[in-house]
Amino acid sequence: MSETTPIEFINLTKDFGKSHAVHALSAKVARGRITGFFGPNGAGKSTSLRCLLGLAKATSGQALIDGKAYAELVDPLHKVGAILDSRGFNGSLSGKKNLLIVAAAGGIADSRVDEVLDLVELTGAANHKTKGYSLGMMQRLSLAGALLGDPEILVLDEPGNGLDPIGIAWLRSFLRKLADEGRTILVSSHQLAEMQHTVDDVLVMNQGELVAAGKIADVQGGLSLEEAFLKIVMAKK
Amino acid sequence: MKLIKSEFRKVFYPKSFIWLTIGAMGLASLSTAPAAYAIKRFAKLALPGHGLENADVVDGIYSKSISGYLFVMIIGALAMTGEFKHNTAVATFLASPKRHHVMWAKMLVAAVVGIAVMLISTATGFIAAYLGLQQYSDAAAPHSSVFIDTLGAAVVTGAVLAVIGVAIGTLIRSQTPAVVGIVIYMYLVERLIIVFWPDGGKWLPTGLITSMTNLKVSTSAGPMTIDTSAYLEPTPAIFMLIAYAVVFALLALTTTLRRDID
Ligand SMILES: Nc1ncnc2c1ncn2[C@@H]1O[C@H](COP(=O)(O)OP(=O)(O)O)[C@@H](O)[C@H]1O
Ligand SMILES: [Mg+2]
Repeated sequence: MSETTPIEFINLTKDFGKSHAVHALSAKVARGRITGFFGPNGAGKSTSLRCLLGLAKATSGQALIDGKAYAELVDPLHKVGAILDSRGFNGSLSGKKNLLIVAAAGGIADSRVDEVLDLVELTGAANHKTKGYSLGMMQRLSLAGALLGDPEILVLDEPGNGLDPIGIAWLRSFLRKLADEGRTILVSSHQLAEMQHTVDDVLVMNQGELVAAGKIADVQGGLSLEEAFLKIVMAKK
Repeated sequence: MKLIKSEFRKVFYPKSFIWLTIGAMGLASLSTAPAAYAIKRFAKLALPGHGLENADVVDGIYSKSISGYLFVMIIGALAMTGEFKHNTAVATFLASPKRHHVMWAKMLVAAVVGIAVMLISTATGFIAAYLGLQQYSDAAAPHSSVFIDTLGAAVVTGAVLAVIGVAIGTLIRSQTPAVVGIVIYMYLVERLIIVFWPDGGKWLPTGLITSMTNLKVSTSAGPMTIDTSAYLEPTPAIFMLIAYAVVFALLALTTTLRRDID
């Protein structure tokens, strides 16, 4: 089996007008591990992920999945499951119907919808309209949507956003379980402390640039991730 | 196939679909029965022979049963604007990153749904016209051809305007401006053009749809009739309307469909 890189950014740049949202990002994500994609709000995390998933067009450079552009994947939902901060649901439909729509588009059996709703513990609310869902329920529904195709790779943009401590704890153990099944996970967060105990590797962004990358322990160097981040950013100035 | 199934679910799951269909039925009914009343009421103002005793005028009332097409256009537009309103566009284009496949599926499903809605609303319009005309014992019987002509026009209109709706939704993305724009254009701009510049108006969708019903109203007779004598024959009108759909669809496929999805 040839070892391709599950996720790779190659000199990725995305401009909006004159400003660089992402500038010359080059990084690899290792297979079977959880990689944290960290950085403050506006660092360029979501933009990078949107380029990776074919939703935004890179100004230059590339972002590849198993060596291919997302649009070239034969069966994208089976390869990659994704949550984006801008991913939404039709509030007038139930969580289940929202997922049935996606399942149909991915050629996924309807029975899988019940399975993923069960995985994220939303079975009880499956038939309720999503406009009545709490933020935490929405995040879990998004996660269920990402898992529909039983994908090898998960790309999760701020899945912890808006979760209470119990929700965060649940998310951490859930991600760990998914990684233990052999999946590759790239998870972003602007709260550096939120995920630092959950991830194996980190990519740290600031103002559109990658400022640190590697195993979490190496990047932290004995400090908390937040302290390490401030030290790195100060040193760059 | 996968995308088509998904698009059908997107149309039929929300209850709004039922309301839009009822809207089309209501609009078709309101365009026919009250027309019989108005023609009768203003008969004195019209030229002699252009009242309800004229079978061509009665045909004109029945042919108005096609008027529900506005809702079909809106159904088409909502197919795309809904994705951006609810932010489901992300999930849709993650499942199918080749975006033109999504648009083809939406156009096909909208066309099928558009035909169905037009058949239902046009039939409703016929019934309303019949009931409205029944109030007047001197009303002439319609020519039997008007039913076939109008239903044929309804099928073409349903398919083509649904496709145009999808294209407009893709071009505008934002739901309220797209829907309001469609209503204002179809109900105000085109009607004004048709009244004040009939030679140009006959090339616009509303004029073409009237052409397709194969109406033969030779002079401007009453407040509710228009002069269709200079209109296109049905076949060129069909091709002209399809040409509109092709232009709008190509425009959307090559421009806004490629823009970033937020
Ligand atoms: N659609 C857009 N148009 C203009 N600027 C944008 C757009 N999306 C993001 N940006 C800008 O790009 C930068 C990076 O944003 P983003 O990728 O969302 O950061 P993060 O996800 O790390 O918080 C920010 O300065 C943001 O304002
Ligand atoms: Mg973000």
